[in-house]
Amino acid sequence: MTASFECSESLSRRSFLKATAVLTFAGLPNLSFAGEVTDRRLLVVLLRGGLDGLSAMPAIGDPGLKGRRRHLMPDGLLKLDGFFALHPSLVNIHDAYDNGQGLFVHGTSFPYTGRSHFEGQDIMETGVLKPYSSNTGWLGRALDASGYRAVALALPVPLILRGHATAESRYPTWISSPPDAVYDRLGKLWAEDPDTAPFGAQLASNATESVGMNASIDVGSPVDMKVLALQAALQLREPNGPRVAVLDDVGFDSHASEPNEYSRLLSEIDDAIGIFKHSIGDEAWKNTLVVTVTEFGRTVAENGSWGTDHGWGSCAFVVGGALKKSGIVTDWPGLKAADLFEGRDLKMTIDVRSLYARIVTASLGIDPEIVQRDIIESPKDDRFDAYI
Amino acid sequence: MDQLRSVPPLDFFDKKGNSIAGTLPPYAKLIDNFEEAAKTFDTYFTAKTKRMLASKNMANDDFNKLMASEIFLPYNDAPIWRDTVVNTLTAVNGKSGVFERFWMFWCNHFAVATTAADIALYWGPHMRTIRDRMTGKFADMLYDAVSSPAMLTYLNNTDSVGPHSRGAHDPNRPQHDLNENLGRELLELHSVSPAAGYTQADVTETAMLLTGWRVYAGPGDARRPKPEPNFGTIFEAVIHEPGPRTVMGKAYTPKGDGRNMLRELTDDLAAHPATAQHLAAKLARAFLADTPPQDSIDRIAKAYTETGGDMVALHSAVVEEVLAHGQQYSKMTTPQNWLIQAYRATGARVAIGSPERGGNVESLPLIYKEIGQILNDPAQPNGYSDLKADWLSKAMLDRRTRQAYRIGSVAFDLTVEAIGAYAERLAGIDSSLVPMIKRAESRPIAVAVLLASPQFLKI
Repeated sequence: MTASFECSESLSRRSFLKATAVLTFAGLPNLSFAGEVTDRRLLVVLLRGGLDGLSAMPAIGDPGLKGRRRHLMPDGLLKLDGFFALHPSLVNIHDAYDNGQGLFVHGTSFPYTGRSHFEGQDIMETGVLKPYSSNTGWLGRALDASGYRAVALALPVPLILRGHATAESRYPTWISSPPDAVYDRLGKLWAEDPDTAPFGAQLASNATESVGMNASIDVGSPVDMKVLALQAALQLREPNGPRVAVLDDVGFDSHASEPNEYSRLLSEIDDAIGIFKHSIGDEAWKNTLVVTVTEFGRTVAENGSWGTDHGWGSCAFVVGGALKKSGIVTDWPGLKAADLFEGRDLKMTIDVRSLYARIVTASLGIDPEIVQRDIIESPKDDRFDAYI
Repeated sequence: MDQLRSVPPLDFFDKKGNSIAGTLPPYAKLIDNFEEAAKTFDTYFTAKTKRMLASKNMANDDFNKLMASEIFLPYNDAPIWRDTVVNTLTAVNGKSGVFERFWMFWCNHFAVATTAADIALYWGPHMRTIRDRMTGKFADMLYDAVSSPAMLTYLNNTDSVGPHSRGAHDPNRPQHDLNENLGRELLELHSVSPAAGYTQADVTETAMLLTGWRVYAGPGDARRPKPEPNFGTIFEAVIHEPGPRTVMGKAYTPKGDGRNMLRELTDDLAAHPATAQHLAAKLARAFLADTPPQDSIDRIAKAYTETGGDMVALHSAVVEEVLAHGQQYSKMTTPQNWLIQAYRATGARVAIGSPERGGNVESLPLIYKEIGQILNDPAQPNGYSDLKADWLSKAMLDRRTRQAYRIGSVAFDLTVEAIGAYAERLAGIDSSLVPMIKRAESRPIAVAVLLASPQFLKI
């Protein structure tokens, strides 16, 4: 079962016209942080469920690890600096590291210890520490400040992108589109309603194109993360296309059978990143960052069912040609019983918001003060400046 | 509100309210004893396999592909298809639309995902147990939904072992320790919510208390299943964590093997004021407004508390709030509710499709998937959102538009005039919707414009 998207090249002229119109509408990019804004690209990969940082990037040099994870240590770990290693599924991420294009942060998370997926995901997407208190996402606010466009390869636009009127979502469907007359009429009706107005105009003006995704896929065929990553790359490689794309993956909540589940899930993400790198092309890749976001990490000890329960500290991966060099940034909290948060979780010693704030500045050219004030407030961590 | 007082029949209703169950394959029969249900599926697909083996003469690879698409995929999809279809046909063609909306709400409140845990056979019985509890007390629904085979499996209680139980030291068992997934969601999602201020210790204690609640594995399993409802739920004392537990300051003491403790806990959770607030706020958000007024929430919570968690009183209070204040707000329909309203409004025949023919034809579960709400497979245990922001986007609107046009293409009984008259009643005679529809070139276009109009999206 294959899924193929309309080839974006054939639409490049129309895409260009559309992009110009949107930029005019939204105002030109805010160049207040002059000099840094270039043709940077950003792919944000959401890993919902709580990424087990100790499975994805085990601290093999810490003697506390093995005893607590008898069934969870995979064979064939990929070598990093000797203290940390990578899960064997993460070959593309490992390649990036070997080529000066991988920055890994460990013992990191949001300063939230409630262990609820739903509060945690709200925080990771809004960037606001009080759950359910913001209806805009940090990336959406960043786009609003920069004037660039974004696309989510997900069916609902994820909260992280909201707050930005032109954020759109693309996801292949097998249901064929109705005649343009339907979109023409609905465009007028939607324009009259404040809820539908932002979307109605877009739909009506380019019914067959951007709604698009007029993808020919088989009825009921599963949508593969690789297909979505390919689509993200095709969108981002357009000179006047969106600058930011979001992939939204779920299933990292490994309460049971974690070795099997993580082999599959981490391969899925790693393959997606590999396809994305290949498809965006060498030129654009030089200006690209890919970053992972998850709501929390997991318990250090395995539970009774070869899995782990909700915890706190995790790891974050940044790869891309726009990195200055490879490295691992950590204030390793340790795995001795006394080192763990409430005796069970890997501690957060680096506030992951500092990483995201630096990425927003680097990729979207937004002044750090504006980032702190409007987008994602965070402690300053100068160490990231050496890499991003 | 009479329809809230008794559980209406659930059946494969056609437009006239007659059951079409007799015309469907044998696996469409609603059997809540999943052992018997499995037998029905096995018999049907075994016979089909034999027919194929007898009639096909082709290369191995082709034959295996055909088997995969004609037998294995439909075998797995059949229970999901059956339960999606019967729920939808009852909501569209049954007589108790309000009851059915509340049922959708509670199924979503106790969400399970069949693909996350391979529980296709348990999904329908789980929902029907919830349905049967909609005229009693919430405490009963909470206990039965949390201890249903679907929930125990989905949230990994079937993997959880009391660390000091006898079973924890048995090397022949695959698991030897706690899994706190269900314990956490019982508190967070199903009852009191984090507003109650419970701690990690409370989550751990709840998980300990839940150990032992598991699922009968079928023939050959020596453990005795609980009788219906919740056929298949068992309590396995050997893996239950021994001793008393304390959850949110309240002590629970085992009597006998300790199976009494879950019911005592769920009763206390159901009676907790935080549960009343949590349920009332969630209902008000689903039925009234994305940000409902606190007065409305309080009145709904009061109805719950004053009647000891009576479901009829709770539902009636929600209906009263909607009747009294609904005009001031608009609610964006969820895809599920929208699809049902679209079929009800147009009288178009519901495209139930079939799980057979390789799943490569449209079937009702696949349509739900395309409009964004596959009923048996929410991404996470909090189910689907009721909030406008989660359903409004270009792609989401486009998908409903596409499906609306398809419905229009088969709404054979409708004329453009009739659709125009409906639009007048829906949006008012001066609405710009009316001329748009009256000037439509064809019936499918008129139907698509009506069903995807802001006015219809928000009914």
